[in-house]
Amino acid sequence: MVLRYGLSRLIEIGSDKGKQLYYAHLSKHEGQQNVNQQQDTQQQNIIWVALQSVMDPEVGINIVDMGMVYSVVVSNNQAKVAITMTSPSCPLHVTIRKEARQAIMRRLPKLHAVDVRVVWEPPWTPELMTDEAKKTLGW
Amino acid sequence: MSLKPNHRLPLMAMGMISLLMALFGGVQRLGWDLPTLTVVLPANHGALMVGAFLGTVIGLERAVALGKVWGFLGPLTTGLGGLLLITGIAPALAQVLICIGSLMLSILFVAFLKRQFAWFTVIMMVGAISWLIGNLLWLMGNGIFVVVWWWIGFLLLTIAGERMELGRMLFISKPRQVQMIAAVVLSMLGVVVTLLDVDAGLRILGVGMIAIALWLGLNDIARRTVKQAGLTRFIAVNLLAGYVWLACCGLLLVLFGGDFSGLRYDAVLHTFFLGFIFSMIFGHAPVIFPAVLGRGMLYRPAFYIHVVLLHIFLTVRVVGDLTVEMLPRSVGGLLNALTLLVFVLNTVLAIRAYLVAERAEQAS
Repeated sequence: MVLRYGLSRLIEIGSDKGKQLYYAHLSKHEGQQNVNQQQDTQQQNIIWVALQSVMDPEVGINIVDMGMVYSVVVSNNQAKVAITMTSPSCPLHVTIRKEARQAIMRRLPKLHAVDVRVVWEPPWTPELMTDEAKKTLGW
Repeated sequence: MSLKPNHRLPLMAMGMISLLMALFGGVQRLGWDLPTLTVVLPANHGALMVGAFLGTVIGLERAVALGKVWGFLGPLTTGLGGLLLITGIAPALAQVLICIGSLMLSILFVAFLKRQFAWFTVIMMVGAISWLIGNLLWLMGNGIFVVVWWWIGFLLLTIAGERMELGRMLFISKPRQVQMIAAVVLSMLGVVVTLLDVDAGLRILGVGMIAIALWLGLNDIARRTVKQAGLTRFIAVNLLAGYVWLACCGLLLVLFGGDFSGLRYDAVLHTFFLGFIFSMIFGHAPVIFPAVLGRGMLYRPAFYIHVVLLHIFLTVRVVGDLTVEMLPRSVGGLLNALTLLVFVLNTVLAIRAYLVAERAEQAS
């Protein structure tokens, strides 16, 4: 913790003034962290909504409701999205990745980086579809 | 690392050249007096359509899906094989190249199975192997009449596998899945039997085709998605129409077996390749071309023009075939070739419309 605070103030640790300074910094730092976390969560939610505009054209259902989006993480203004495909031999991942990236950038143009990756583990199963998607397909 | 979209263009271009030349040769076969581009075009019509056009497009589609540069070796060899088939130079080399293309596709499926094991991928792989066997038989000097059933097996299983994969979304029961697998096995059994007894083999293949068509007509996701709108509905309409042609082809095979007197052979092949396969191509082109070429394509209701024309003129042609009337056969065939040109034109216009829309969005 001392190291996190920095060498310039090390000399003051142990004194009352030092403690005061240290706790003031910590609370400011944690406050900032909370603000950042809130912002990240907010951006993550926006991305989930943005991805609802990306459709699987064959089925006519968006990739979120299809259960093809595995994770959305935003940290330090950088987004990392993991999606999967329903088939390992389908070339559509090229288009879907591009459309997902565009949809995110349209909603959050100030993001520094958007990384949309296709993952194959765990394999997609129909159980991952939302109830709404299942209803659309007449389950 | 995958091949960049711009580098895939020449491969797609080779496939499209094969399509156009196959059409030219096909129209010449119908008896239309067209100038001779190369003397081998009419004879190579089928090989160009299946090996050089469909083989290249399907190979490209799978290579893009795999995302590795080596995956593009398959469409490269089939594309080059097509150019040789067009010119008539080194026909044996053309056959070898197309054989390599089909081998590469089979290997690609091993990579897909390693990525994620799925039984529908196995079915598609068996389809690729069927293409390879057909090509090897062709290389050994067998006529198109012998090998074309293996080529049909390739396309039939490719589509059956893809549709079964999508069928998972409907939670189709195990017994129903087994029905489809049985129909696929029956079809391939028919293909194998053609080597021993053409008549019996084709009748078995016909029963298998009817079973697959019925299964798809009853269980395919297109039954649900046809109620949606826009592109999704367009795809479904094409699929359902294609299943009708597949059933027609199966019915003709069951009725005629190996008796191809008159123009029955023409009817069987074109109900399958034009009716069934081109319906699949028309339906999926707005989805697959953007993925393969890295260029967007705007869905337009005008796509229905080439769809409607295909079915009308194919019906005219098949009626001509079955009644041994040359005029409807020739006119229907010619207009079907023109329909495919309308499809190519519509595709180019849709890519252009997307570019215009994209530029407008960027400008705003």
